[in-house]
Amino acid sequence: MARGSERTVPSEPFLDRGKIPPYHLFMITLDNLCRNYRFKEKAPGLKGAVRSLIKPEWTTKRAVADFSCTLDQGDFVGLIGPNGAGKTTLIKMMTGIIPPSSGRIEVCGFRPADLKDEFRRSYAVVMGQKSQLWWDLPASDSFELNREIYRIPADRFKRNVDELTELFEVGDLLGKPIRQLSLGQRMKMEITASLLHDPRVIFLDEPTIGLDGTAQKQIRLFLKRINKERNTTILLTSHYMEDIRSLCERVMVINEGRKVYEGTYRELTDRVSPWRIVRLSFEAPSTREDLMLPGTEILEWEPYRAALKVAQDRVKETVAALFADFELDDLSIEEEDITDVVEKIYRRDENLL
Amino acid sequence: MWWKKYTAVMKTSFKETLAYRFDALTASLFSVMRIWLAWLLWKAIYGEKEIIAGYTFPMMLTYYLLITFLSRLARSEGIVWETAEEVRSGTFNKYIVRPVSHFGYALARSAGKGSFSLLTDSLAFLLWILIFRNSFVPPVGWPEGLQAAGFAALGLFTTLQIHYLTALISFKTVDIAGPWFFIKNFMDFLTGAFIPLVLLPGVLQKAVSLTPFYYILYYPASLYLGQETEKTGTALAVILFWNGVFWGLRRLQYRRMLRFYEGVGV
Amino acid sequence: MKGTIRRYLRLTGMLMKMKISRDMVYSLNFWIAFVVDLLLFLFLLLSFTFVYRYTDSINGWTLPQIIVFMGTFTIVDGLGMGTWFFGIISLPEKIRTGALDMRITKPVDTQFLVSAESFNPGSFLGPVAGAFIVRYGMKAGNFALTPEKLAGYLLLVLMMYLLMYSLSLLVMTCAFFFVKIDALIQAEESAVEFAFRIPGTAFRGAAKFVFMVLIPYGLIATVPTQFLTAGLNWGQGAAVTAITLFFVTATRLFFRFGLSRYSSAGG
Repeated sequence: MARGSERTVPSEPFLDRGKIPPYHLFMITLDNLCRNYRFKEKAPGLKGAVRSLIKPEWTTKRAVADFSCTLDQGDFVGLIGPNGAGKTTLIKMMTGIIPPSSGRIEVCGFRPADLKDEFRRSYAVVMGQKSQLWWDLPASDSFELNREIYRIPADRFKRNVDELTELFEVGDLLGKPIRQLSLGQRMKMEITASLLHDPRVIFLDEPTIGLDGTAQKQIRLFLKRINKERNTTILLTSHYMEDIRSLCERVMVINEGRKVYEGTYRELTDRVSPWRIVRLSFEAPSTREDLMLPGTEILEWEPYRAALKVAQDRVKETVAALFADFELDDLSIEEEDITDVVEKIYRRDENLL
Repeated sequence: MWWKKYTAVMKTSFKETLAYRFDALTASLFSVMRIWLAWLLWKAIYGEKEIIAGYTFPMMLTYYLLITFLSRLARSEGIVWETAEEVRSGTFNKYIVRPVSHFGYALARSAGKGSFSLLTDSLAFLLWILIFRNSFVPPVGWPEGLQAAGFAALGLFTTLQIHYLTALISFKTVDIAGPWFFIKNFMDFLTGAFIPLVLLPGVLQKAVSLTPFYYILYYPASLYLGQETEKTGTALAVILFWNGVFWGLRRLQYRRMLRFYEGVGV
Repeated sequence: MKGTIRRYLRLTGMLMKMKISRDMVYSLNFWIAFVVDLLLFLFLLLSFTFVYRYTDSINGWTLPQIIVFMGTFTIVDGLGMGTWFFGIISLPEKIRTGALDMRITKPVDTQFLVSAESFNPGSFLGPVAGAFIVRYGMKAGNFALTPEKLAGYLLLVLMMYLLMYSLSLLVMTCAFFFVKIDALIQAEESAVEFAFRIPGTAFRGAAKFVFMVLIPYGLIATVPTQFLTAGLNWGQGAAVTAITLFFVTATRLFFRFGLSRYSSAGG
């Protein structure tokens, strides 16, 4: 069983509505969280418009269904799933932007939908598509505004601005209007602006979308440091598996609003793709028949080269057998392409839990 | 036929407005609401009086009904905003590379939109006339009514030319809102959209009657109401003269402004 | 409480500072809106002047009172345009596009943030011009201006400013519930236009109830003018206060309700 799901707390007395404990056991607790959208079904044309006006037909869509999980202080968790799976809806509920339809949610000891100022000071949210910076003004002005909004003491503000912009190497761009910055520089400013008040939790929704490789890498390094040095809880959604692989110790997969997996990234790839690809090149010509070993499948074969698909738990024996039976020039073991793995998860309907 | 492309534009504009029929209908209702407010205000102004400057209360109300109806028909205002947007984004190119006259396009588009307004407005205004029939007077006679309609049509064309000249300013400045509202305020006052021009002191009235504004709304309305104003011959001469001036100015400016045009988004 | 007020005042100052430095980039807009407003005032004044050639009073109001009335509207309207107008008018857009999301996550009152984030410094010339217009009207009508009158007038202007703000926000808040509220916005714009052009004394009977109580745009410029030039009795003062309080509270509650129904577009 994955680490996170062992910790999922069932409905214990303190989880009852209204009885929020004075201090929280977890930084984030979601308990059977649901979010429905209701919308009017409208037939096209004037006739349809009139009919929907008189007798509207409502359709309910589940954006998030029975989602439970907990995040501890210092956790770095990745949330993945196809478009429209409910990732952003989850983040919107955790930040209080929208209330849940049912279920329990607690972040930093608060119920997000109450939108207490103290709650909103305790987290930060960065949405790749939505900016909080003033387009025509330099970043430093937007930082100043955040200082006022979050009531950040002057010395801490200065320390944070210096430290964060230095980490990102954007200190010299502070005086430039945002509209003159590149996408990567803008995102770095965006992240800096949201971290000035030392949040305990950071929600990142697609922070690297559309950025070039270098900027992505810099942002990854940055987040890793923040997570380690400040022991900040981070929840990240990303389209780039590399973000998730290199950053998140735990991964949750959401599909059609439901959690279909929770565990380490490694386990996830093992589970979905229990195969390794063994590539071989031979000193002497081989035959196809000789390569038919138990638990393997031949993907490609030529006299001097071959690729085998090997069950993950048979890799050791197979490799040993290959070394014993063939004169090998080279041997490499590869994982399946990560994007393929994820596609697979999304296409699978069954629960991976 | 050379004019086929313009009827196509007209049809498309009509359909486009049809897609926003709900907006069009509410706009019609609100313009009727304006007449109700004119009703309230003028009721208070008339008080015990029977006649103000030759207008009885029902005549005054009919005046506001007519000019509101006419100014709703002049849908060429959109051309100002559209041109500004197209120049800014660089999509104005399409008129330069295609064998269409931009002015012809503007005319067809306004006509298309206007004919839709004519439908919804007729409904709303008929409703008003039915409810407030005591405050409505019919045209004094057939000849006057027809003359009024003719001048109203000329007025619509004049308005289009003025709007078009305004639209050309967008080649010189990114922000068209300022100049446009400046011109619009002038026009509202001088065309008699605020108060009938007959209330103006004689000299001022005479002066306005030399401008085209006098003949856009006020003149057709006073013909309809049978009020003594300029002779139709003089009126025709003045309005045609100004349209000639605008026509020339427009062609000249269009060519001049194209030189300012960079063809790319700003 | 005192700390909160000071904090919000500081925030207001900060937002205003940012808007001013932003507007320096587009300095032309700064003046043109003012000139356009002044022109409109001039033409309306001319219109009323010509109308008064045929009558002495509009339901009891003389021409100088109309001038004070229009000056008062210029003040209230200018204050609104300078402070809340551009933030509120774009609220439906922010709701539709989900741009409201980031604003909700800030540890500040969301209604405040939405209302105060779009200052328009150029509009503050309006109240200055309006003050001159009122003064001119007072002189033309030989109305005495005592310190008490001035204080009461300013208080009423402040109240009407809040009323106009609440009415406008009330309309825009509907965008939380309906996709398109263009028709409502159009109605609101027309109402503001009437508030400017038609003195409240013109309303009688049902119209009076509609424009003074139900959708009290008719009060905005009328009440301070009536107080300054003729006087209000205690009953009228109490009624106006009650109406203002009602709409301010109702709007606040309605906005909160809307926010709790916010479904955040996209993703």
